[in-house]
Amino acid sequence: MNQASRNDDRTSTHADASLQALASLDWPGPERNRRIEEFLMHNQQKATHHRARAGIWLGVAAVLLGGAVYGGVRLYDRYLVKMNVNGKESVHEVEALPDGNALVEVPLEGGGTARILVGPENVGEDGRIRAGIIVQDSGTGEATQTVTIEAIPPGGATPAQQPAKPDDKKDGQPKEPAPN
Amino acid sequence: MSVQASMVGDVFDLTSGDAHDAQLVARASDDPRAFEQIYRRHYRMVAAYLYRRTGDTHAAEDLAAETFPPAMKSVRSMHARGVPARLWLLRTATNAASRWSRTAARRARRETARARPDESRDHRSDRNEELEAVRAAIERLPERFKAVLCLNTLAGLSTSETATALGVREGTVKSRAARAREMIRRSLGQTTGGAR
Repeated sequence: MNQASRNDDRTSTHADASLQALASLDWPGPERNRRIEEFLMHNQQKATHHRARAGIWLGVAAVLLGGAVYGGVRLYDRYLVKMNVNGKESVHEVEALPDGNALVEVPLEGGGTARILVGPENVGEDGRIRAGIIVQDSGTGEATQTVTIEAIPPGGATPAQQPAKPDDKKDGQPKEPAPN
Repeated sequence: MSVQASMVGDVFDLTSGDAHDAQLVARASDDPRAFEQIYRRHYRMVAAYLYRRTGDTHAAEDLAAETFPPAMKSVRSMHARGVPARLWLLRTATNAASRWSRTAARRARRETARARPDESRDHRSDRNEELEAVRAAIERLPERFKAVLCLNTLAGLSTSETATALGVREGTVKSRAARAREMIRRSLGQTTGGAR
């Protein structure tokens, strides 16, 4: 091995050792960086504010649209219960319970009473509550009594009578009734 | 909400690695607290890497502060591209350190011209001459070689991780790393040769 080669080898070893020494340096500073912590804190507060503001606007929008009401806010004061018993119509007014729901009692032709609880969870896309029951003859299967319930928001107009179909209560979300 | 956060925190402590980071990154788009977890997991690693690059704790802290906030802002890109947070942070830190070294070099030249050259280095935490010589040699490297050498050697990333962080092929990483080491050797050889 000539002198030049030996010098190259020494340089090589020296450079590698220096790189290794540099790579093995540990962090001697604090475990936290106050500037980043402050940045994160600021962002968290900002996100919270955004969420709160979004929540307020959503709440306002919900009230304006007369939409779903959850969390104890009462939207409907009274309910109009429109009954259709074998083609004979009658309308009854029912006061809403403090939680915004209403328990509607329907006298059945054959005796007894059917009860149906309606509330904000029954709000349809148009902001009105619709629910209904159908009393069927157990022998023939024919509908003997049809009850349609529609909610009237405070100050709202009386909704048109729209009889419910038997499967309107599926999934707890009544579908738009078929036009007459 | 706070109950949920503390529960999540407990779960996080039981897991580790890039897969866990990926979950945090996915959440961090909407929840700054998830990014806080990323910060706490990786701050030391990033700061140590920047310290190796700069030899200065204050500079490393400053550069870390330039690394995490942009990473947080680009967390959606991080999530979309599927690059592990650790690699993303080191890549960002590499860029920040390179910018710093260029500025530091300009500042050093200005201060040298004022005939009081040692004053600019008074705040240095690590004044080991040998390490300073290696750092100087690294900073003289062309950027593409410097990035590979720093991530591969100083940050301790594997060849494939370095390739992922830089968006190049592993073969490119290997050849650039070898070339960078060769340039360092020559640079140090000339430095020591010149000094003797």
